Amino acid sequence: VGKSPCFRGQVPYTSGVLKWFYNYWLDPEFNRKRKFLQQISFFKNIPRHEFGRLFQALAVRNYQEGEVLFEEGDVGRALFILESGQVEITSDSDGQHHRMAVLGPGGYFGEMSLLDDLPRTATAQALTSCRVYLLYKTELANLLMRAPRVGVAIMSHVAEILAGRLRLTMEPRTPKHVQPFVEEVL
Amino acid sequence: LIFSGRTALPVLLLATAAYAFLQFREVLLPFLLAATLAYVLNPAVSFFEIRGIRRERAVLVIYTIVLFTFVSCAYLGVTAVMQSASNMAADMPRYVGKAREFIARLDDYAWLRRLGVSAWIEHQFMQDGTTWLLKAIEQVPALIRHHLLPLLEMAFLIPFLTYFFMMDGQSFFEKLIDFVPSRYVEMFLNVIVEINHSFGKYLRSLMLQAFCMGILTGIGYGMVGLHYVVYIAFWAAVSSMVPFVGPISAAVVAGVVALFQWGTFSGMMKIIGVFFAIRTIDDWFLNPFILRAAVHMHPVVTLFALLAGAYCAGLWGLLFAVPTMCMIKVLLEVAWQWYATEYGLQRKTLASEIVDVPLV
Repeated sequence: VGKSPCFRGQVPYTSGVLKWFYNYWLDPEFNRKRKFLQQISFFKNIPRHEFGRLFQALAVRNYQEGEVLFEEGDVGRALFILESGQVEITSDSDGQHHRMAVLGPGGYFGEMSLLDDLPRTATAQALTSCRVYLLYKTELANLLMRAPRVGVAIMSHVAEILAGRLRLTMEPRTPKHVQPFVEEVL
Repeated sequence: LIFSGRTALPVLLLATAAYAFLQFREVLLPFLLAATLAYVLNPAVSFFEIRGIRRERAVLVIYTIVLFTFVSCAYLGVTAVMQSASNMAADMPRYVGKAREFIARLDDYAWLRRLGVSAWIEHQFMQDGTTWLLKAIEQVPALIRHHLLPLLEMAFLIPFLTYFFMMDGQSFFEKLIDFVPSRYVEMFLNVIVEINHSFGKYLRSLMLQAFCMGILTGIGYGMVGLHYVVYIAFWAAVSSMVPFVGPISAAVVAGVVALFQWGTFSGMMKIIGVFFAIRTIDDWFLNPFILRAAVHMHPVVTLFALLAGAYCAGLWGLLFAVPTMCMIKVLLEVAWQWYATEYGLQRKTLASEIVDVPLV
């Protein structure tokens, strides 16, 4: 339990009035969403009391089994975070169909589209019915201006991921003492 | 290429929505006003929501505060208007005398006498004006019969609808996203986010400007000792939401009050001086700060929007003309941005930086 119990996780029900207050006024869905999103590496550096601003920026979409979230070649504009269900990421490079990954709850994909307007390099399809959070590029720009602590935390993580991937591609040139740090980031 | 299968659907939907609006604009008006009010109040609800408060409770608190404020203001306003009306009735003979003196003094100037200005004003305002006023008074019961009931309907309907828009707006939006085909979700969100940002900025700027204009007008005309300054300030605030027409109409109202109150040239000059002072402060200090984030439109486009709005929906059309044009502009911008990124027209070229700058 944090210093300000109002908005911090489990609430110590010390009296009936407090219990009524929490049940009547506070949104249980808020805490559930915050706990889930805190586990996602993208949001690990966001201060607890700023999560409300992040929720305002996220859109939620339910997908049915077999539904295509986006196709390879579509211009990407959003980051997808999987709350429940499974999504398959595939690519058709070299004329062959490759399964790149199967993501479960907590998985994310499409982070590159937060930085550029280039076409997607893979196709995402729902393997089961799933619930997905979408962070749109314009909303991230808005967060950077209106809630910089949230926006910068997300952008820093995107930058960390990209830098790590870049170092991975030039692995032969990466000094041995740096490699553990790269692996840690990725 | 622009009207391919992918873009034809939104264009078709927009055209259908515009046609439906024109056909059912009378019925849609309370819904439109309620939706606008709910949209304006939404940031206050969000203030509580981002702190973990349930939406329904936040809506209830905000709604109660707004309703209480509105009813209190309406009660105080009606009481003040009744009081002022009785004062005005008592002062009317003196006001008319002052106005007649002023018009008579116009004949002291030879060139105005030659033009027959005083005779024209006397005829227009004192004879025709009196006839018009008598006719208007005769029409009051009919006007009340025709307009009071719809106004009362609106007074009950709009708060009722606003409550439901505030309560269910968010979940309606979430359900709407679920209905959008998955491949168009990003496009749909793009449009919604852009419109929300631009329209929100415009509305908030407009309301802030209206508030500032009301305060400025109140202070300005109050300093020169004009009567009924609170009503003039209120009118200035409301009318400032209609570009061009609004500020001038407030000055005309102040001029008429000054004519009846002082009936002198120096009095009229005070009003003109205050009007120009307010315009200067508005154009040089308020607009650059308040409207810097708002959607900018060419004055010709604004005028066109006002005329089209007045033609399509009368007084309400005047009020909603500029916001609607803003929305259309944002939609066009988003459509163009979408088209440009989709076909790589505006793709940034970072090739030289990527290749030439060494990776360290």
